[in-house]
Amino acid sequence: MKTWFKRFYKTECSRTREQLTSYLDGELGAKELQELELHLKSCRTCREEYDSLRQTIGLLRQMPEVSSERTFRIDEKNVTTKPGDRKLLILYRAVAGVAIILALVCIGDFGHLFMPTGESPLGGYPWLVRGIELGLFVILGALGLRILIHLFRRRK
Amino acid sequence: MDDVEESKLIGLSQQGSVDAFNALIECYQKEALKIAFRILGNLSDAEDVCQTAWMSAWKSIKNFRGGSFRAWIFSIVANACRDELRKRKRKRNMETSIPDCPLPSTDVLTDDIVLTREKVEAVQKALLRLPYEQRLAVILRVYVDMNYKEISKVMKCPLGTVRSRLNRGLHRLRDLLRDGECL
Repeated sequence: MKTWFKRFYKTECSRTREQLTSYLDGELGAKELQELELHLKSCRTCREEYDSLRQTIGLLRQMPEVSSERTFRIDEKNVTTKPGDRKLLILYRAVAGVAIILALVCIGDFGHLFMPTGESPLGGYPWLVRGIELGLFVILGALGLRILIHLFRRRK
Repeated sequence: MDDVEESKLIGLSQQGSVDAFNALIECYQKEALKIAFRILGNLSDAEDVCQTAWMSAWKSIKNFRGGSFRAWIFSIVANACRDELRKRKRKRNMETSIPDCPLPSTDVLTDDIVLTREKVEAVQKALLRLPYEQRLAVILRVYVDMNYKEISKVMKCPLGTVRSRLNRGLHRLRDLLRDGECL
């Protein structure tokens, strides 16, 4: 029963331990600060815990500084578009164009633009063809537009 | 650099001025390198990661919508470090994480602790054993002196999460250092 109860009830010590780092960093509110300091005065275990954390931070702060001889700069050369990037740009445009043309073909067929009689290549399943066409129109159209928007933003 | 000068440089960078962006790099490169090195434990990897981070910051400077530039730039560095750690994990190269920790030429004598080469190595090793999120929180607090609000911006998480990550990280670090007889 006691252990079951402990799961739901935080002791003053466990609460203090959770707040020790914030206390060390000066990030506690006035009320919490007062309660914690009062508890630290009366509890030796928590005081030891506090000291050990303080020492840990002290040790971390005494680590030697890291320095590098390398200078970090952005070169004008790196900023301009490379030939590889240009090829990729052309590929993107081509994919966007093809996707949009296919989307237009799908929607055209959906509206019986190419087969005015309304005959379907799948015979008895015209609804299936119309469904596929509509789906392809949405997917390809979205893909084409997405690529175009991306290219437009990059250019901006 | 004061805030006015910084926002001027940010504005110029957003208009495409490489020189203005290089001035921003100069201002933050030391701290960025510190973060990358403490996360990765390897100086040359940290340098490469910083260069990559600066490059991606340049590419996305137009998307910077005000607020703390320091927090924005450090979150890019932290993301680049995370990518590097993932790459390492894929290569199963984790054992290379401690090779060139900067060591003091002589033992560093401070208040009451003598930092020997072994101790420096042990502390860096212990840091690398922390989970990424806890490690980043501890590094931002201890080595870059960020407050909890700024850390929450870098880590894109609420203040309470920062508090618990720091608390768990420091406790774990303390235990690891005790195991290594550094404390």
